[in-house]
Amino acid sequence: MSNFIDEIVELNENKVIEMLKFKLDNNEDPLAIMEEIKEAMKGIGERFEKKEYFLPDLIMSGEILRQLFEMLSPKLKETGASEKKKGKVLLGTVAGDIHDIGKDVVKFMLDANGFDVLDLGVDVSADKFVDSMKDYKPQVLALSGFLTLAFDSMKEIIQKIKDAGLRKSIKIMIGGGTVDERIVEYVGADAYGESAVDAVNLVKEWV
Amino acid sequence: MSEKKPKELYKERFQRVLTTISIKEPDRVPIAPLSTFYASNQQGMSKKEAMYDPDKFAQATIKTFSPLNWDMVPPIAVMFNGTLYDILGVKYFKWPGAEEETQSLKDNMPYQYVEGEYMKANEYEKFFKDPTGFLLRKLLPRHYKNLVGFSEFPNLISLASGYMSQLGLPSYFALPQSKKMLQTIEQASQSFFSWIQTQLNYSRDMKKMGYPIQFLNITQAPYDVVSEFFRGMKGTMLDMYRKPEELKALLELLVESSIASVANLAKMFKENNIIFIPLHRGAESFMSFEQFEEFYWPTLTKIMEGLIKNNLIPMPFFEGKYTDRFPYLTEFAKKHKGRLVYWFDQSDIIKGKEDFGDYACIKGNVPGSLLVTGTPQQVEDYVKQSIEGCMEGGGYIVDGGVSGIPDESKPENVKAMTDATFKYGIYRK
Repeated sequence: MSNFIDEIVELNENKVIEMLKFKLDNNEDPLAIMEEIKEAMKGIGERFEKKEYFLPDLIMSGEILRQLFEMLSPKLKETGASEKKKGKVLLGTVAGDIHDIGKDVVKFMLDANGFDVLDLGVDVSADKFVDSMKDYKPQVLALSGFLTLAFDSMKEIIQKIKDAGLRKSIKIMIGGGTVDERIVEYVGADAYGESAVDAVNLVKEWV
Repeated sequence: MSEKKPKELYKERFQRVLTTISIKEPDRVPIAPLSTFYASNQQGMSKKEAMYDPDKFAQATIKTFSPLNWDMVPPIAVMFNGTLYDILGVKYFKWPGAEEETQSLKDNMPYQYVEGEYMKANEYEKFFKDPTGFLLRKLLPRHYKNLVGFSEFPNLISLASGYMSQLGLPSYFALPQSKKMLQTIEQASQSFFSWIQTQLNYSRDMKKMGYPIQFLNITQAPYDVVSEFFRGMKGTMLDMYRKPEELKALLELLVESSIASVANLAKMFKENNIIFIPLHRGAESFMSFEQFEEFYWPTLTKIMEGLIKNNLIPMPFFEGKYTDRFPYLTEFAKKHKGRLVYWFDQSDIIKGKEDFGDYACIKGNVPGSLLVTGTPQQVEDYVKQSIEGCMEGGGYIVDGGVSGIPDESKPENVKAMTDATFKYGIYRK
């Protein structure tokens, strides 16, 4: 029988679902299966980093993982185990902008790398970011925006974070469509990430 | 220049652009930017107003751009009409001031596309069996809330049922929702007609001042049409894995109809044969080389070839990064020397000049971030560098990267971009 982890990384949907059924029918330890799935997620992330996988592959892997988790979660709940995350990232598309493709890819890649991510969605106001920072206490704030109006929204959000006295406690990265290196200084962020891989590397560096 | 009559200026500007497209040197590098809400921002209009008052928007555009001496001015048709959208009950966009709460954005937010799965994965078969019927009864009502009456539209084969055929259409049009739909269409046509009138007036007014409009006609890559209006981004990407043959068949099916509708409209706009093709989901960040080759590029090139056969000039706008895909662009350009414009956003245009500059006219790509947050000096430096890298032998037009002039651009930067073109773009006096 071929390797479960490899089949997930290869995105062989029908095969992996069949394999998981077999594992569950044979009462394999759900925690061990979960470890294998996590290993596979890492593998998918690596392929994305190496530019062997792109958005369609991530979407497909998300679809496969969703099905695997659905099958596995009842058994996992029985074990009562919970995993420890590496760090917390607060994420959202800034006020005025409702684009979410780039943001969702960043979320996927951070998840896959073991970070805890709170996604505030799209068109998120400065106040909402500030309030969520107080409640969630993230180490990193990730601001996404596709439109050029996002530059000023990001600037306002970061200003409000400063006004609330929270700027020193957080690292801020920005990215998306028209955002580039030039915008970092304009909005007062710490770094710009061109891709979701950059986002993961920045968080790894900071946390 | 000021002594020339507008009529001469119009001809001269148009010719300058056409010469450079044909990969010959005009007297100067042309500048022909696009814009969406920049002009209305400049004239103090909200984005809602821009979408709901086309005449005022046209005036704002004229006021903003006519002093700049550009070779071609932006069309105002990129400003979608809020009234028409309300009448139809458009579901695939959100925009400022929309009547329907679910579609409404704040007054100063630009219109934005809404992701949606308008055709389900298991509906391919139904679609292929009867494309017209599917579009009419399924897709139209899913795209437009107020066209839901089409969902009951009778099968036209009923017209071939002898005595009974006379009853099919009247009984359908007697339904309350059909009446509402007819009303919607009537109102929509009126609204469309007045909107078109505004476009024509704008073109006429600009022409009187010696300005051609950059393009009057638009089409899309079949992959983007499927991704945005049929299956949604996620659905389309899953189909690449689960239903690749059905997806490809749908993409192919859209080729002929796209060419036909553009060519048809082009007969109305004889004066300008440049066709804008904004590309969305074929960029480097969206798919791999292999996926691009398999799903995106083949039907896009078929459309471009079809347009060229109809003596039209395709102007694909490569939003995002496409530098990795230059080998494909080069191969296509070699077959159609001087018949197309490649407009770039974040790709490396200097490399583009080396790769396909002898065959395809390059347009772009002053970064939006620079126009919005940079200084006039930085803009000038960027334009200078682009002109010096791309002007040789003709085949270069100055414009911004993402959709031309971003809404929030600083006017001094737009001016710097314009001045730099006149300063550094001269081939001969």
